[in-house]
Amino acid sequence: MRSLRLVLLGYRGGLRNAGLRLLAITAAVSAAVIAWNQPEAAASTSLMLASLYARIFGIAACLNASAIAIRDLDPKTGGIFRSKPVDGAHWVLLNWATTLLVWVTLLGVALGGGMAGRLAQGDFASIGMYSLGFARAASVLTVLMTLSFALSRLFRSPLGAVIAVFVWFCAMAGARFLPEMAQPEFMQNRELFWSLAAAVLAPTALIVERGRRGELRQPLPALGLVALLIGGVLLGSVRAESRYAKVGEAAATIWDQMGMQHIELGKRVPGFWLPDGRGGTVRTAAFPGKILLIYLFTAEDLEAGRVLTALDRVRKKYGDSGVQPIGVCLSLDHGDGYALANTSGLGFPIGADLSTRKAGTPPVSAMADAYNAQILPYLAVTDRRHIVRHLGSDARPSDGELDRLIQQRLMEEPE
Amino acid sequence: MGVEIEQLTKVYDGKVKALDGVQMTAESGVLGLLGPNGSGKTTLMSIMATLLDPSSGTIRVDGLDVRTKKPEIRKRIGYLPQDVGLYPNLTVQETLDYMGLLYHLDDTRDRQDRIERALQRMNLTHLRDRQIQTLSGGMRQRVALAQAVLPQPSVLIVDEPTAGLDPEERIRVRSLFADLARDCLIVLSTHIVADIEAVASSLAVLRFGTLRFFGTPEELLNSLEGRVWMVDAPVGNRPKEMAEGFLETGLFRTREGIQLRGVCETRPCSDAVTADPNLEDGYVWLMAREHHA
Repeated sequence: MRSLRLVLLGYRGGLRNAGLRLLAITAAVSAAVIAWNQPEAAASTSLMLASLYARIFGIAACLNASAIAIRDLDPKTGGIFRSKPVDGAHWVLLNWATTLLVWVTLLGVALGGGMAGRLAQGDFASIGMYSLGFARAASVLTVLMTLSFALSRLFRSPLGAVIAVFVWFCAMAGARFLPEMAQPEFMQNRELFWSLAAAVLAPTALIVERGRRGELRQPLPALGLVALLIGGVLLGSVRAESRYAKVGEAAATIWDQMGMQHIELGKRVPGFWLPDGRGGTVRTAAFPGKILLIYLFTAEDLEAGRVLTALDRVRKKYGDSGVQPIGVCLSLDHGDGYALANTSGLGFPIGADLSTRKAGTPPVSAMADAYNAQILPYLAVTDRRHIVRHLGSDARPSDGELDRLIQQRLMEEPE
Repeated sequence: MGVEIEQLTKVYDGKVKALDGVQMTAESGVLGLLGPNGSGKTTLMSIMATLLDPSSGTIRVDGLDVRTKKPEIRKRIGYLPQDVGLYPNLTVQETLDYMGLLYHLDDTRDRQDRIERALQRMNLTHLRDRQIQTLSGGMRQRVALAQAVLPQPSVLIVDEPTAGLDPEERIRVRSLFADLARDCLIVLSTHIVADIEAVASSLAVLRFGTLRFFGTPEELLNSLEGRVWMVDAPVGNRPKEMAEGFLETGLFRTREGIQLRGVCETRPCSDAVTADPNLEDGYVWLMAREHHA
């Protein structure tokens, strides 16, 4: 109870910071305006906002957490706290939890603005989209803020924030050059980075801080916990490594098989088996006798998000006539495809191409190879026998163009 | 009970000797630590408050060694550093609540009672809902003092409490110490003699990290008996024929002109008359004596 009360008091004080309030309110208003103006690409917009705000709030949180981590170490002003009879580890964790709570709240306010923008248009599906986006952004923020806080406390210097922010900038700017495992934003690296953050925070609080304050009397339980967390990091690394290694193996993997196919007009469309994030698979073979509209896109592309909405309209209009859209999300972050598949409210399947190495131009992935997609988004249309009848790079068809495309197919192949 | 210091030495980075062989004991009342800036007062206070470890020697606070009993000592002390780093966005009430919880005052009713008493004692009741950042320096100092007395400490360590305060606040803070000294030992460091003149029951004077005087204020004053002189002179015409050893400790304007006050082993000039010594005389005399030595 004492800890909870202390955290809540600190939290209340933290939220009174006028600068932080202004940041959150500005972000919320901006998000509301953006979300309001993108009704056609609501799901992609929620992803984009979540990713953007994870970065903005994450970097701000890293800097703020670092300042808070060493606030009481100021030789002049900090003595009032360091002279209190509170256990060193407890004190570190209290400050960490308070800072985290403040920043997660601010992030929630900011993304809540986006949700409000959608709800104002009666789009209740946005609750799920923005909730998931918030959860993903909060997860990234938590990891990086924790690293910044713990390293700053460990080094007794703002160097911790410098390291955390520098690593993050490198990860963001050098996504093509760094191993995927070094990307704190990617959902597939969650286990690794969560355990890493915990493995830095725990020894800082339980061993280093207690040692510095002359309170480290029974180090064995703390050492045991730290060993456990280090084990978690190793396990997380191995799992992440195996996840990526699977994609890069020379042959015999499902991805290589998919990538070795070649799309050609008049030939059968390359088949695929893509995860949908719910334990299921998205496959061409699941839709025999249907006209397929296979849409390859990247999650950051808002225009592609608009086309996804248009494809859903097509499904509603022509679904009974045997027209089936399929989305394929090419993203380095596996969570993007899953998020769209699970929260967008679209009535057609979206699979994630986990072999994506580059989502820019030209994209690099098994699906991009198989479909010869040089520029995303990319649309392939088949007939009922899944023979390719139309191909298009940089595909941003309007509703009318989609209608014409489908009506032409239906004229050639009525039910 | 109190504070016992034996042969205390603190060396920073193996080079700078901040304290050198300091030795003293105080049990109750107010122990005034006097000394110029850089004399080692803050270092001594920080060691007492368990924020620094001594290089050699020992300090026992309430009978507990600061090297080995830090957590226990922290429960028994109140500490008010020179610069108070309270959370600017918390209100006075919340600040005291926060500090009370850090002092393990877990019983809500007991904590609130203590907060109430501290607010009343420090004349802060009407400010309880004000955020710290909106308070003046003196008000913040009183809040900091209020948090320091929440645990009803055995030893209250106060470092330069009146620095930066206006005269009115300074007087108010001084009178608070006189009140608090009934309940605990107050170790009060300052370079302003007037801060402790009326309240100190024992006095330690530090210079360059060494203890130059330790005793009661009366002992210091007695040692100056017959050595403090007053000389009247017209404005702008200070007496020229002063004895070489005359150490000026004050200069006052009177209706007739000016009055010079100082310490001297012998009558400094024919017009000089003896005066009752005060701590200011004693402090200046101690500093100058060491300087000449």
